[in-house]
Amino acid sequence: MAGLTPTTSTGTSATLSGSAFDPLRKRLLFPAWFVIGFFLVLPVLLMLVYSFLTKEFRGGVVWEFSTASYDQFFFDRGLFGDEPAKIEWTYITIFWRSIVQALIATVICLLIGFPTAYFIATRPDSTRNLWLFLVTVPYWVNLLIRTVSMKFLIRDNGPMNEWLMMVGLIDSPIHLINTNIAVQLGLFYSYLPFMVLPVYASVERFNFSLAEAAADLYASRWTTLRRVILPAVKPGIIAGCILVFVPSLGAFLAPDLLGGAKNFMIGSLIEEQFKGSAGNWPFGAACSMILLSMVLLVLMVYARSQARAGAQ
Amino acid sequence: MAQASAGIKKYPGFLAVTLVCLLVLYLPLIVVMVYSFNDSASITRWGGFSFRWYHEVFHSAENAKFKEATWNSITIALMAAIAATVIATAAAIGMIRSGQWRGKASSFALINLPLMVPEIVTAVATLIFFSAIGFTTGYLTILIAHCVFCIPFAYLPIAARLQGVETIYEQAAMDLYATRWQTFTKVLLPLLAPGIISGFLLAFIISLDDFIITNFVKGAGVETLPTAIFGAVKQGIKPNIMAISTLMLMVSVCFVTVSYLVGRLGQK
Amino acid sequence: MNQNNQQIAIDLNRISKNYGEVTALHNVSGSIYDNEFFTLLGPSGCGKTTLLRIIAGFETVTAGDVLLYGESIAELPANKRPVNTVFQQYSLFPHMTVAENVSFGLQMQARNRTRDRSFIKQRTAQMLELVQLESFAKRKPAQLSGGQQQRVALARALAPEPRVLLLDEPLSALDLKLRQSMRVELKQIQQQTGITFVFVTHDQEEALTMSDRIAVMSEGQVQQTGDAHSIYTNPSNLFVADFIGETNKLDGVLLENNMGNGTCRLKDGTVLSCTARSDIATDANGTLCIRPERLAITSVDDPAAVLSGAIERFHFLGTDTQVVARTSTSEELLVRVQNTAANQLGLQAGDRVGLVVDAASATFLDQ
Repeated sequence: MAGLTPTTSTGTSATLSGSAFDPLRKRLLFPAWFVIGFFLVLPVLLMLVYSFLTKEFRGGVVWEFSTASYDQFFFDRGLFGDEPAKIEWTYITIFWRSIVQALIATVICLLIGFPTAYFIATRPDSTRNLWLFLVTVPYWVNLLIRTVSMKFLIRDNGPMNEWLMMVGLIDSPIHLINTNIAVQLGLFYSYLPFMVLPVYASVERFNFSLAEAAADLYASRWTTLRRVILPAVKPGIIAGCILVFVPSLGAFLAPDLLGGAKNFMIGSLIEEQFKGSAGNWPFGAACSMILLSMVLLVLMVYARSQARAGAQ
Repeated sequence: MAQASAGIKKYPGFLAVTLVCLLVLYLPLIVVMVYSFNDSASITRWGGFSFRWYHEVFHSAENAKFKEATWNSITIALMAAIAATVIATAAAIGMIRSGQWRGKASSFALINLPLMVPEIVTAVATLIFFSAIGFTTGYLTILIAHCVFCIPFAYLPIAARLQGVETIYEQAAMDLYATRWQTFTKVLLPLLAPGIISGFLLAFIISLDDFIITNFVKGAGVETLPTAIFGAVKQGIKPNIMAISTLMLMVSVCFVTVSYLVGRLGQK
Repeated sequence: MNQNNQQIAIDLNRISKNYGEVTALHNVSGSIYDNEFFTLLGPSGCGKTTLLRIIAGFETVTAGDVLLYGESIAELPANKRPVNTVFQQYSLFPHMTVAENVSFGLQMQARNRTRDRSFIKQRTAQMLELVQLESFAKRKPAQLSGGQQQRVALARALAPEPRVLLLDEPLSALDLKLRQSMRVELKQIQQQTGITFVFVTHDQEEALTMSDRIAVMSEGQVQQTGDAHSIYTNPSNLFVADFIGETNKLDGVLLENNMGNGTCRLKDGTVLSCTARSDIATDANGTLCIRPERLAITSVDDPAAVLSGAIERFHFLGTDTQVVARTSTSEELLVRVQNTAANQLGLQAGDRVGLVVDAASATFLDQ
């Protein structure tokens, strides 16, 4: 039954009418629109407003227009604000570091995720779902617990170092915790399934008779991968990269628990602005706006390229 | 032929990468699970098998805060997931059974907005919102925030399932004198059930999983399990944390297994 | 069949249906009689399925009205019309058993809420018996073959005793052998139940074998309505002549027209007797249509021969041989010759032959 495609002789199935597609059903969207509009869109707009307000010293804001937050982000005017403006590198560096970290995490996820997804997608039907299941199970485990587990494992006096020393592979513990590598490991651990799943979906749809055709036309295995398979599964790869990059950019747990103070990322910077009375709400709102703008930019470029690909 | 194509599909080293991948994914969890049964109070030396940390989790006064946090987590996840699933089911039918109209793409974007906005940004915005309207942060604010970001997670599997259900079944039901409501309850709902269950489970797990947003909107006094664990971990990883983690891990594995089985049932 | 005495089941009154700029149906009128096996026949996109869906209530009309036993149903939603549909893809509810599927309509019908439960049970059993699937009641649709699913779909649609049963290409998903046996079964069930069947198909053989009457549709309009025989032998226009069966088409001019009996002149100057609709004017340009089996081959100098041509090739088709000949004006002529012992042709490609046709078999059409 699944193999039979309906052949509506008039092509009416795409047009709205009768009971199949009723424009009135739009009303069923109202609750979702209301909840997301009222509790997400409105708050984001409010956050934009807050980023232009004046901070109050005990946390919170004073309702007075000010561009101080953005000014503080980009410019250094000295301790008392009376010196000529210089570029303030502190926050730009944090953002830059976050972008680099997120990019590296994306590349690592791709390098490991692609072969994994490909391997799973080319398993026979009987075992494919099991492999997929194995890769996705950890994703269902609480992110915090996963990150804590990773921290526990790679600590200087953690089990990994103990075992390696016991076996005699190393003499002194490998120092991983509070390094960039630990953050990378954490990000990889957090977001790998986001890479594997879309890539898997596109490889699974790939028509392997095309690879056979390439082999028939004297292409080597790796040439086939590069020239035939990769172009075909590119949409899945791009989707996977975005799904890893975007949350990595605003990640909080992995940098906070595994990276320590030296490897501050955007997430921690923002969080700090809202913690206790030391914070600066307008500045935190401004940082959030800048992060959100970056993410929306990436998504818009992606949507644009998707639309162009769809139009072709 | 099958042999040849299998050969063409194969790339040396891909199996190895997959195994490394699985090792990285599972090793930390397995290690924590194993060490949660460690009798020794020193958390890295193996001191024999014991349930003592589990016993402590359930009985010591010190761990009472975890009990309360667990209760909060589960009740919030349950209510947020139910609300999100109901809203998402209605939204999925509203999107997929309403034909073409202007603004449909925007509506899709709006429903999926919680997935696109970075969690930390959602957290900040929600905190600012509740503070601006003078809402006391606490249990209710957590619940509302969770419901919002659970909607797209519930929506996606339900919508995917609904897209696979041909409209002809609803037409057949209508043709056989069923009212709109009967068509929904007797035909569409049973056919959508695998998607709805997957959507609910996903929303539940996502709610249970959330740390960042909860951490922002919880206010003082109310803790969920992740925020309680995070607070405790800041003091160092103690064996009782590992026991709690193992218990949560088990819950997650149960959920994913159920969801996997439901998914397979849905394919039949 | 004397149709004038029969009750009209469905009256289509100047129905038009537009999808935006696209016209699916244009001013379609016609009547379907009670207890009739009526077929809508046409190529893909001709509007036949749209028309069926309008009768079922899945589409609304842009203009016009649909009457069911004299009452307008154009405004009634599908679930209030005493009309049931057998869908092309069966569309059995996959989560219900065969029996649950068959009893679904009965349970949904408002009038059955006051009835005894045992009525529904009994009616379901009766329907399953009708389609010979009594022993499959507890199975799920996925456990049945295509033909069995189709029969369940039929039982399900018949169970609530609809006044009209609509069938949307119900046999198209079956393989040839099954399709042929289902034709017989469908026709029998229609006669047993006495329910009006409206059957949609693009398969002319299906239409010709099963139908009491056929409406040939094209481009959103009904081209001709009539029984199988009249549609085949007396096509009212070129589309019908061309769509149903094979036909030879020769350009010509109508020289005279005496109440349907006329003569026409072909391009090569040949003049022959033919039939023509009486409203076609003399001197009208048009096409002479001759069915291949109505042409007979004879020697080129036979005085009975009205046409002539050179044989190009032969296609052996089992019971028949199709002979392809070409006239002096380069028009192709198909001739069907039965492969009986007496019909050993002894002809070769290149031979010139004469062709015999009687006036009743040559139909002049002006469009």
